[in-house]
Formats: sequence, structure tokens, C-alpha cells
Amino acid sequence: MANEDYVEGGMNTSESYSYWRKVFQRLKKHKIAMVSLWVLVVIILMAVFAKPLSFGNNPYSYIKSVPWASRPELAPPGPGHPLGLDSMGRDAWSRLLYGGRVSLAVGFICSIVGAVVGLFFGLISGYFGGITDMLIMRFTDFMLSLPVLPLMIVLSAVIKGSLWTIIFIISIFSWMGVARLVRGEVLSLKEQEFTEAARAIGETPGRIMWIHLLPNSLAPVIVASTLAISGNIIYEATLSFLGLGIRQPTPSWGNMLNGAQTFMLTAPWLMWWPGLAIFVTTLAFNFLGDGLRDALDPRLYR
Amino acid sequence: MEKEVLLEVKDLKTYFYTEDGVVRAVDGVSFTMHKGEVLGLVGESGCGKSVTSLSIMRLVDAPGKIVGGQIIFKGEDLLKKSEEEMRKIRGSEIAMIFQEPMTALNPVYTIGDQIMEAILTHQDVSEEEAKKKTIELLDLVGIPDPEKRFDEYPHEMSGGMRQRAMIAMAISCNPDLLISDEATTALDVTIQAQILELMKDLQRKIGMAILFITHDLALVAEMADSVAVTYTGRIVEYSDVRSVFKNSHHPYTYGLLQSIPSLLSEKTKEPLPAIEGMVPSPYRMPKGCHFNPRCPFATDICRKEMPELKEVTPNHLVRCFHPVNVKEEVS
Repeated sequence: MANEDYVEGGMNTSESYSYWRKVFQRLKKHKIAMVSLWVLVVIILMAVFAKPLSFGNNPYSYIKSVPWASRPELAPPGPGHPLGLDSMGRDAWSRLLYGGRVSLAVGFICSIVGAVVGLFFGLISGYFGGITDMLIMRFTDFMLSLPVLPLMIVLSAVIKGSLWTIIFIISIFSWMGVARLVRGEVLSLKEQEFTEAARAIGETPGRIMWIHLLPNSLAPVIVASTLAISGNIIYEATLSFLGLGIRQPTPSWGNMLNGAQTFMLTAPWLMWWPGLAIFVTTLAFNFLGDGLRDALDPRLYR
Repeated sequence: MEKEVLLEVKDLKTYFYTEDGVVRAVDGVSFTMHKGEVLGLVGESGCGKSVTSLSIMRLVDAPGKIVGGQIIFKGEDLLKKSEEEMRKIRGSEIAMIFQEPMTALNPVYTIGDQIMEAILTHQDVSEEEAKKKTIELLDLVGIPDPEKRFDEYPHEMSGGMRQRAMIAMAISCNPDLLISDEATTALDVTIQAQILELMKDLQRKIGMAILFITHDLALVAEMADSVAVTYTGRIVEYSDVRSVFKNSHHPYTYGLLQSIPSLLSEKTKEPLPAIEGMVPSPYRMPKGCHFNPRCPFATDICRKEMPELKEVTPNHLVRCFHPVNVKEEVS
């Protein structure tokens, strides 16, 4: 029978590429993003393998004495303790590694929670429109207009912080961008005929949102969430630096800075490394997000 | 040739309540479709063709609203059904194919998955059976190598292939009525002819009725059993295809037919007789017959009153005070 347009111009169907492979190929061309990706892989691996990497030291235990300093507190770097000891005589290197776990966990989890909540509100708001849209979007505007940092400080002072309370507090303020983004995306997807076609084959609104609208609006959410990770890491560091986030003795990059600030002049090396870790990680997430933005360009859908 | 009535649209009114006023997109449209019949719904852009089809599916969105009439499908009024009941009818009993094969398929799923989805929504079958059926359907609509094509994404297919996939999706549940909303307009002519051939072929095989919406009279002549010509949300001429094409009585239909270029005509060198003017703005409809400002035969009564849709010759309904061409038929 008719096979009018089945002349395959060199495109082998067996090699038919998937969307994500194409995205990754594009990302590979983005040099800074790739460097950032590798840096992040290293940082994440360091956090994951904190225990074997910390030369048998424990971030919580006090070292009784080191041979190269008169007192273990604030001892400079030396054999077995590459970053020295902090003001309580604990190994700074192992605290840096374990602190990375906390900072990264906060960054990732808050971002994921923000994305999920944002997607939920955005999909409902965009799909149903009308009064639902109005209510959700005004609530979003309200949340966006709040002074985030002072509120976080107040909240974390009231709810005494464990790791999960910090995650909760940061997550509260991390979904609005995604919600707006997804709503906008849904508004345009809704006008595309495939949404109408889905309705015309009798699919329920829930299914249309879940299987048609959600995957199609995922690309900008991935970009926004990647960029949000660095923001969340900064929030955690800020709160911990102010002594309101992760409490001692649990290490985090933020509270390591807090512990180091008093001894800025006597033991400056204590400040460099957590500061550098925060700087490099957030920068890398930002670069990666930019790279993803280019790689996930919607024109790829063609 | 009395066949069972499948769909009866009676005095359908769908209005759009916009900020600038009420747009009467469909204003009292009535027609009847029998089982297996192909009805061509013809008209210029903005004459309410698509809104009519969306109304039948009950898919008109705000600010649009179906404000009156009845849509009797298999003896039951669709306008009285709940959303839940409508969902069961959509896709399984009434299916629809759309104009743009480029955007009517979801870019993130394979063709096969999307057709399977339609089957699984309405039929109680296992995934394997649905997959088997999907491959059969792809084969039926003339997609070569269906097993392989099952796993392809829409962007890997050409427009014609996508439209075939859309048709496969639409007929997956053996609907009684297929609404084709300008389904071939976006395709180029050769592929258009193939798709039309396919639709006709399937219509014969499955015995479904087709509501064929288009602005192209030539396609209607080829496809349809009967024709309804719409103008500003109303049917102006309604009869079987032969009668409309041979003896169009409404000046609008007459004008449309005159404006089709013909290679065989001796008058090829002369400019085409076009219908003067444009479709009136929906916010400012002319008084009386909506066609009167463009009608060469308009008289005073046309500017005052809206004519009724009347039987001018047997089974040939026309909405006009001065139907043209009538005498010739009395021979």
C-alpha cells in the first residue's frame, strides 16, 4: 500500500535516539557545565565516602594531643589532619566531608520537595484555571512577597533545628518559582492539540495532567531545580552560620564557618575550606543549571 | 435508502461570552446523520464548523458555552450526560481527528504508547493485547513496518505518517462516529489524497459515520454523501452532495462553487468570480440575512429579516429568500 513518505533519508530507525540522550549530547558540548558536573560528582563522592576518606578520624571525637602543636585546639594542619583541628580539637577534614553530606542533602532534598510541590500547584493552577488558578497564584505571590531570610531565621529559632526541620523550613520557601513556571508551561501546553486529543479520547483530567502535561513541562523544572540547589545550600549555610541551622556537634559547612569566625586571625585555615566548599558547590550547580538550560532548549522537541 | 439515525443535532447554540460581547459561534445548527453516512460540513474560517464538532464532543471550553439545543446520539441527548458519562463516549463511540498532525500527538511518548493509551482507556484488555491491536491498527492505516514504527516518537515521523497514526488512534475503539476537523488541510496534496482514500476505505470497512469538516468544497464532493454549508454559525444550505453541487440554491454556495478555478473552463483567462467582501465580524452581524452585504441578489427583505431554512426542492434545504437556480431543476 501507500508508503509515500517512508523513504528514510539515512536515519536508521534502530539508532533512533531518545530525547534524553540528545540532551546529554548537547550538555557535553557545554564545557563549563561539564567541568561543573565532574566537580559535583567529586564533591558528592567525597560526601558519600566521607568515612573511608577521613583517615580514621571521626568528626565528633576530640583529639587529645598532636605532636606539632602545644594544644590540640586550633592546631594547624599536620600529618593525619590535613586541615588541622577546630576550636574544640576535632578533625576539620572529616568535619568538612561529613558537613558536605548535610549541605548537599539539604540542597537536594529541598529542591526536590520544592519541585514536587511546585509541579503540583502549577499543574492544577494551569489546567483548571479560573478561581482555582486565581487562589493558588495569589497564594504564590503572597509567599514570594515575604522576606524569606528573616522569616527563616525566626522559624528556625522557634522550631529548634534538626536536619529535617531545616529541610522543612527551607522547603516552605522553595516551590513558588517552579509553580509559576509550570503554570505558564501548562497554559501553553493546554492549547496544543494533543491535550485536546487526549480529552477527545476520553481521558480524565488527572491522567491528562499526569501523563501529558507533567512530562512536557519537566524541562524548565529541571533547570530551575538545579539552580535552586545552590540557593538552598546557601540558605542552610546562612542559617547554620547564624547558629540557627544545623546544631553542634553535627557538622555542616555553615556551622563550621560559624565556629571559625571567632578565630579568623589566629586560625584562618579553618574558614577557608568550608567557605571554598560552599563557593565551589554553588557555583558548579549554577553553571550546570545554565548548561542544562541550553541543552534542554524546547526547540529540541522538534 | 432509510438508514438508522445515528446523530441528530437540533437547534444547537454555542455562544462565546467574551469581554467584547457575545459571539454566536454556532447559532441554531440542525442536521441529521445516519449510520455510515459521510456528512460534509463546509464553510469559511470562523463559520462555527469546529465549534460544532467540539460541541458534539462536549469539549467547548470557557468562555464558550452550549446554550441551547439537543445533540441526540443513538437516541440519547449528549447535553444531558454527566462529564463522567461523556468521557466514556469520547474516544470509544465518537472519535476525533485534528487539523495539525504536528501538535496533536504528545511529543514525549512513542506513537505506539499513545495509541495503546486510547485502547486501554476504553477497553478491558491486557497490555499485550493492546499492543497487538495497536500494531494491527498501524498496519490497517497503512503505516509500513508497524512493529518498528510502534517505538517511534512523533518527531521522527512525517506529517502524513502522523496523521495516519492519529487516525489509528481515533478508530482504535471502533467508533460509530468519526469527526474529522480539517484533518487533511495541513498536509500536501498528494498525501491529502492518500489520507482521504484511507478514510473512505476505513469508513467502508468499519461502517462508521464521518462528520467531515473542511473549507474545501472539492474534498466534500469527493468524500461526502450529504453537505451542510455553514455561514456565520448557521446552516445556509443542506442537501445531498449531488444536489448541492449541481444545483446550489443559496447565493453563498453558488458563489463558492463559482470561485473554484477550473482548468477545463473556456473562461480560464478571465478573473475568477470571487465573493465580494468578507465574513462579517462576529461582534457586528448585519441585520437580516447575514449574507446580505455580500449577496448580489439581496433585496429589502434580506436586510430586515433572517430567512428560515426551508425546503426549496425535495430534500434540499436553503436559508434564502431568493434561492438561485431553482427553475432549472423543475425539468
